[in-house]
Amino acid sequence: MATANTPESRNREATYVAIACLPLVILAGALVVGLSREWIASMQNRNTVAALKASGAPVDAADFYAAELGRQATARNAQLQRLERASDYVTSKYNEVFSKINTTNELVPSDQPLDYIEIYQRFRRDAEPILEELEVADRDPTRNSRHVNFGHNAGNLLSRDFVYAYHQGDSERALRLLKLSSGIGDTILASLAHHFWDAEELAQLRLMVTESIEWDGKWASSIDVARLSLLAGTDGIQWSRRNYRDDSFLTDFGMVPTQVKSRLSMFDQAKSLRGLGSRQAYLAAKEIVENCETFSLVSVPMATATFVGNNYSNRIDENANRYALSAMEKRRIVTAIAIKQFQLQENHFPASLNELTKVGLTSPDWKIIDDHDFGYRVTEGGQAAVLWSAGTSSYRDPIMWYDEEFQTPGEPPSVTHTNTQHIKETMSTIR
Amino acid sequence: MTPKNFATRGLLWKEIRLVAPLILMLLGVTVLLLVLWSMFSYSSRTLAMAGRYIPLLLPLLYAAGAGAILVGQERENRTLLWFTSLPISSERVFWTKTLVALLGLAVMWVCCMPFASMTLGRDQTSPSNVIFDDRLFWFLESVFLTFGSIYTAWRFRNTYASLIAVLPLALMPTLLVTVWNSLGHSVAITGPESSAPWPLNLALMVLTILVAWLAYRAGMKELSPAEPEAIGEFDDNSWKDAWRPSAIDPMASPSTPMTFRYPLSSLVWQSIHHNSLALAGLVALLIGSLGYVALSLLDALNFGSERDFTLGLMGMGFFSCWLGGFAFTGDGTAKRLRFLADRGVSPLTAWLGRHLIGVSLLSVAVIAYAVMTIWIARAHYISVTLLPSIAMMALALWTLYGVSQWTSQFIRILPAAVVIAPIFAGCAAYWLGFAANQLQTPLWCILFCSCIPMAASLMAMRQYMDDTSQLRLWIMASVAAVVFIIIPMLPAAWTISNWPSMPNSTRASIMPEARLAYTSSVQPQSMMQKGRDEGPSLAVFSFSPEQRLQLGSDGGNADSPLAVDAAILQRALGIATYAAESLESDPDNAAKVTALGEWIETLTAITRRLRHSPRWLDQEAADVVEIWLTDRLGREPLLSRRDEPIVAKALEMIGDAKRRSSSRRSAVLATWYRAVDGRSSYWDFGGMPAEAWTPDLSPLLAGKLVERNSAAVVDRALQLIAASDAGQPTLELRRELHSLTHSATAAFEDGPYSDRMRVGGERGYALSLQQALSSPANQWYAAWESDAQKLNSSESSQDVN
Repeated sequence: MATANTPESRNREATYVAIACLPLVILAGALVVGLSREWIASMQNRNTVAALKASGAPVDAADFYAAELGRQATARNAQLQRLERASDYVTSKYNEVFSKINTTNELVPSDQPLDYIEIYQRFRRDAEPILEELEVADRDPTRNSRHVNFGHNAGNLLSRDFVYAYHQGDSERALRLLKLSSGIGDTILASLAHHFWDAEELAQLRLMVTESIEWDGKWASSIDVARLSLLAGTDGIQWSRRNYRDDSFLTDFGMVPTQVKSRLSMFDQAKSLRGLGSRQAYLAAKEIVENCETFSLVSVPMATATFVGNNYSNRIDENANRYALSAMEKRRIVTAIAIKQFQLQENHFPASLNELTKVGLTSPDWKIIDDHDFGYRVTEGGQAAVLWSAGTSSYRDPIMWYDEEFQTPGEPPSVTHTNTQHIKETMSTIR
Repeated sequence: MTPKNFATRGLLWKEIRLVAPLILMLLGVTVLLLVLWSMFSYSSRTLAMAGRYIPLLLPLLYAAGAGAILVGQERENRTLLWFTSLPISSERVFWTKTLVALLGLAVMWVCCMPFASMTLGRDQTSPSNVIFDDRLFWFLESVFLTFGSIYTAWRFRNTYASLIAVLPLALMPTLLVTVWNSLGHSVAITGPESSAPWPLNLALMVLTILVAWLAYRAGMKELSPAEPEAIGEFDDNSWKDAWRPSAIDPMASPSTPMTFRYPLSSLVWQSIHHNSLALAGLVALLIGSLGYVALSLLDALNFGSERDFTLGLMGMGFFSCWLGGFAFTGDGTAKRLRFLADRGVSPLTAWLGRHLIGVSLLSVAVIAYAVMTIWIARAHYISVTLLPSIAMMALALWTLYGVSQWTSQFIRILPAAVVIAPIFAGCAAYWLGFAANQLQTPLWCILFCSCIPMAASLMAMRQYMDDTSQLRLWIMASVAAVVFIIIPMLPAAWTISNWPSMPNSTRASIMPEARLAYTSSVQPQSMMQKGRDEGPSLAVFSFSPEQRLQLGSDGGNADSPLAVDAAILQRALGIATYAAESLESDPDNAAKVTALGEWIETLTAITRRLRHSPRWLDQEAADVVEIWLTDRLGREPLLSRRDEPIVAKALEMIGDAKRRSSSRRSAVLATWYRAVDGRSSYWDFGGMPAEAWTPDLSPLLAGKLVERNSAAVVDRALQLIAASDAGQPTLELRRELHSLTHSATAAFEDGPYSDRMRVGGERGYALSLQQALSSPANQWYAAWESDAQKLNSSESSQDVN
């Protein structure tokens, strides 16, 4: 029978055992909370995916593969495929010889001799039928030439023929080739070094480049692809795809619904970004990525910070960054064309970029970034104009370029840098 | 024989009897590990390399446990105290034990060398073995560790604590190497580049002498007459006193307020206070391990690189293992628990009491790990991809703890249990990880298996507490071990047994035909072979007329089989396409007509030769060329030139459906026979990678299933041929082919077997070579075949007309 002292002793004993049990209870509680979070996130993800599906957005593996493979199954694509195959033959046939005589497709003006001109003539003869077919394909109203380019081989073919057209002074053909090509910035900048284009053609070129500065459509499409890639389980994340196909969300190894949820939320926020191609948009994208949840309490087997984060976080800000760089480069091309237009119109180079308003250029077009103009100067005697963008040593590392080492191009790149390649890449000389 | 010699012989005999079980157990464990290693090392290069260290376990683990078994066990059994009362000098007792320890070490080294020889050659990275390369260093290390364990065994009265204290000594070589490297050298004692220079060896020798001297001093002190122990008084003001067992006072009332009322709390109290030194050592190990992980994370933060924190995680693993071993050692031994059994304490209560502190500490470890990693990683936004999550850490530590406590239940010799438990626990954890990764065992099954060791020790608790037959305990443990090994395999076995295959009746019926198809076939000539004979230009740039003709026939034999080379075929089709496009832009140019005609003739000849090949892939390549021909011959300007002999010949070939089906059937059968006869791997299943058709399976499962899966593909392909020849629909068979080859990557509607991906008819003729060659039978009997037949028959009808 218990004495009067017994209850106190028993209480102490119970406390003693309870204290020993406390860590176990805390851990069990943490695991239960973590698993519940994963379960709730999984349910929310399903709802999000259902809503996306209802809105017509591509969200699952079937959509992904339909987008990837489907394009091969139309008559139009059959024609493009044939052209790419034939272009492949023509470009490959001449690859070796061009790699020896003109690797970089350097432009040679008509008043200077073009080495091995007979090779260019033979190339033109072989390429002509394909060029004609490409123009027919380009006139196809179902092909959006601003977003869908011809294949890599066709691009090679066009840029090589441009060299010959340039040397022949055939600006009409050169313009035809540029209209069919993608990635034309360097070619246009190089072509401005001599009197090749007339005023009308320069206006057409400027319009062509200006129209190509459009990011919102591409941005939304890139977000769709990234989201699709996450949900479709490509890029090595097979578990995610399985999750949306069956109910094994807690039993699959590597299942992290909270992280999928945070990614979906990140994609949503990123999609609403506007003003792509600017530094502000890049910084906003970076902030969205940094705020994205990358940790999960109970993910199995890895993943206090998983490869989901590694694979999908960076694309958003990297894309925004790339767009900003690309926009800057396109503005530089537009500015360079405008300088050439000004020269043809006024018979001299503009003293400053502000004078470009005379040829219809507005000030945002000659900005590198924020309030900083491209670098510009006219050489002594007014023989040439030099236009350059921000050429820091970290030009190749755009994040650094924006964040830390950004310099306004007060000085020409040859003064601020010693790397010849950087100088060449960031500077154009217009004569 | 003098009494002195007799006493020495007796002592030697006794010491040898003491160490013999440890030697035998270590030999058994090493053999087991080598067997497991030989079974699993093929799957991982790291594992193959790790095998080089298995023989080293013999001397090193022996050295770590020798002191505890020779000194600690005697102390536990109170025989050491009895010895001090005998007329034997302390020096003789000490040196006899030391001598036997060193003799045992020599035996271990003798056994180690043949094992080390066995592991030679398995490691692809190095022709030599670390044990042979650095045998002096490792020998000195083992001698040092032997004296170290003897020292800690004499020094600490608690055997468990003495074993844990060996760990810092074992890390001494690492410390020495760190110091040595900090002086500007670069030395590794593990890995393929291991090399221990003489200063390290010299330092080890000096340390060994120092530790031997310390051991001698500690031994002499322990064997000298002891001072009477001071009897402590209970301090009424101590916070612990409320939970102490009642004082051993026959006069005390049984209802004293100091008495434990619950056996569980009594057991918890004992767990903490009986082995507080050992517990303190374990907690220190945990703190050290966590600190190492934290430093690694901060290092990653500061230097932007992920430093290896494996050592910290291994420390946590050892912490769990020894914590598990703690459950049934010290106060948890069978003899001690029998006391409770005699007083009516249930096995469940005793089991819970022995585990409560261990599991509680394990939880503390996981919580500390969670707080530390999440805090560091969150605060600094770093991604450490290989950092295990909390759930994973809890599962791993739980498994290690469970297996270790189980081991300590059926291995009664404390030092042996402490040394062997981490090995068993590590093997068990590896097995569960292997099952999850390679056998794709579901998580619930892994969780279930991780609880088996705990359940096994609970079920054996009654026998253990009664301290009756140990044989029964071993039998129960063996059964549980078998269950632990078998259960993770069951889901994989179920998957394999339910995987589609070829029915046995079909197998038996097609085998003679398949054998004939293979044996009567001629090995095809490679397209690339011709290219190499003529120089690289054939494959890369263009074809000379001679080369083109050689592709069409082999020395005048237009029917000799040809094996496709995708790059050459791609180029050939590119030139032919260019010729066709050129003619379309200038239809009346005679030179262009000739050029295209030559290529149609060549492609017709290539197709005929590909159809003679016994390789499945060549049939798919022949389909690609026939699809190209059907596309081109069905359009202007060739459509109006159908009466020209070259075009007519091509039309006749593409219109011959029977020949096509027959060639496909022969190639499928020959391909299958070649694989089942062991003449090719499944990476070259008639030129196709059959092992890649199941990418969502682990390499191990895919390897086990590839034969069944390939046989099923062959079966469905043969059925497809038969169904098409009989004019029956093929949709269901294509669905099956899709599920056998592409179910992991796409839904049927989006895969290569769907209607919209099959060329011909209104769907057009866009088809990439890669798409066509990557999926077996994906364009068989699609609309292009009817188009081809119609083209040919319209030509025939024109002829008739």
